[in-house]
Amino acid sequence: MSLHDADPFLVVRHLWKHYPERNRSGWRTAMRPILKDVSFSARRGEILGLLGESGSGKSTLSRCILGLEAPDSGDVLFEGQTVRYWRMRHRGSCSVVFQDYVTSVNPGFHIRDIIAEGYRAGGGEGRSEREAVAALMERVQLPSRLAESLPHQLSGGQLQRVCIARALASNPSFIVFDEAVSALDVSIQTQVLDLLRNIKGDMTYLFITHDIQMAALLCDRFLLLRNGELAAAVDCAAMSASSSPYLRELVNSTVVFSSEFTGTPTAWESSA
Amino acid sequence: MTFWQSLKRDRPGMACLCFLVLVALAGLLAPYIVPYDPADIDVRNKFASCGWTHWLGTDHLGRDILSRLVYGTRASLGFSLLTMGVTVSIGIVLGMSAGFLRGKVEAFLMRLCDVMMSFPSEVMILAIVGMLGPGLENVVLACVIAKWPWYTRMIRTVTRQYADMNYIRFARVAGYGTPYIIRRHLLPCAAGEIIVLATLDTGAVILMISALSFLGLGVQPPTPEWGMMLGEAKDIMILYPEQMLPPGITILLVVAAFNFLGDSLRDALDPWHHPSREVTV
Repeated sequence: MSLHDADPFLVVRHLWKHYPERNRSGWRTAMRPILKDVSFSARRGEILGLLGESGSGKSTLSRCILGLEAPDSGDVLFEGQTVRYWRMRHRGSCSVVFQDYVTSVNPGFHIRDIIAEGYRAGGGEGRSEREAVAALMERVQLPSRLAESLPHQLSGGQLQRVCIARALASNPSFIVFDEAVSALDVSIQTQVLDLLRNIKGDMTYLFITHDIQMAALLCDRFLLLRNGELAAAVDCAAMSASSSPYLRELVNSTVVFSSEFTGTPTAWESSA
Repeated sequence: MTFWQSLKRDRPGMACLCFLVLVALAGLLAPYIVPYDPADIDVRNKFASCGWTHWLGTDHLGRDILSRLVYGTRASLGFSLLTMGVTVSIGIVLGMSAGFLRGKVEAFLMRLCDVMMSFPSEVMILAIVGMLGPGLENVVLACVIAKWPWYTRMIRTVTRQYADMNYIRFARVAGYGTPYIIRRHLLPCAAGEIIVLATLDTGAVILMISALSFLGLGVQPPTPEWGMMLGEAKDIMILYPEQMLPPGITILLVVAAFNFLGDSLRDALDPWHHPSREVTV
């Protein structure tokens, strides 16, 4: 991994994480490594993808980066400071959108309160909370009449938009999308991806997915994670130039529609 | 909030709630509403039957039974609510610590709970009261000692279950501290289960206080208490069996009301039990 950037926003250095392995009677037998010496960096304003199959350690890595879990060794540094210190110093600068939108919102809260929680985390200066929530809902294209609804009255796509609005509300400089679009159906997925691109501004994204097409659509660069190790770092603009055999394997395993049907060939097809 | 609406729709639940509120009010306002002093002895007028002067008659010392019943609310209902309050507070503090801090704190607290829960609680309460001596404070203390592990364990389970919810992870990432997360997310979520269990258990504690007073280990005379009144009535059961009815029926009604109310609260607080799930899409 190159740490070539002079002033990287996020640096992950030699991250190791183990989980205990237990046998059938519940005794700890061994420590299984989940992350093995993961190092990378992200520039300010970059959309960095993190791609890997289930069990490759993507979610563990995201939890370590967000400071929800402590790594066994290694560092996560934001602007040169450890994540917990940075998060404390810059309240609301860090945000996250999860895959499972149902458990992402408190079922007893109204949509307005859910978004307001994010808004207050960022200090909530300037406009009144009501106006801010209305503006955020408009930004993620949610009809304003939903503000007084409860989560179970919304559809999956709407609820994920609520989560995105809440993540944006604190005016963060870094957002992790942990499989944020994977649970949505395909037509909604592209809408949400468009939305993410439109609202990006100067924020830095870490976009975690198992879907190489999603990663290629949105990201500037993506990292391939396999069995807890970084297998490759791929620049989306030059995907075909990558020599990684794992990337080739992944691309070959995607379902490719004929170009007559889709109308627009993917970057890989056009170069192959 | 939908909780009130669904509780209002539950007629038996509302009836129980109103009944218990009335009983509690009667106990609180006892000096203003009862016609006689509950400790006033009038031996010439003992075992008077129901009538206009003494609505429920008088007992073996000529004391007014209605006045004693109303005053007895203070000991029975008041002290059982106190017991539950203390128990639930201990449970919240220890259970949330165990569920949040995990690791060694959780292991220690849970093993302690296991040990405490392996004693049959009635036997333990009898043993503790036997050691400390009779008295209402000792009964309350014994009940708290016997009951806190159940609440600690239950609240720790609820905490663990919700601590992994994504909305709590979000709050943490956004920079909110543990006190905020407990106050805003965990307590309201856990409140439902705590209230239901505490309501059902209040009935059990009333029975426990009454039973110990019946055995002479709880309230000491002349303080009126339902269980003790029942105990005094049992001595003259052959001659005046009707003396057992007022305290017995009162205990029955209040405990039953708590049990029904617990069931209604369980339904009303269940977020997936809304009678109509209207959709605004």
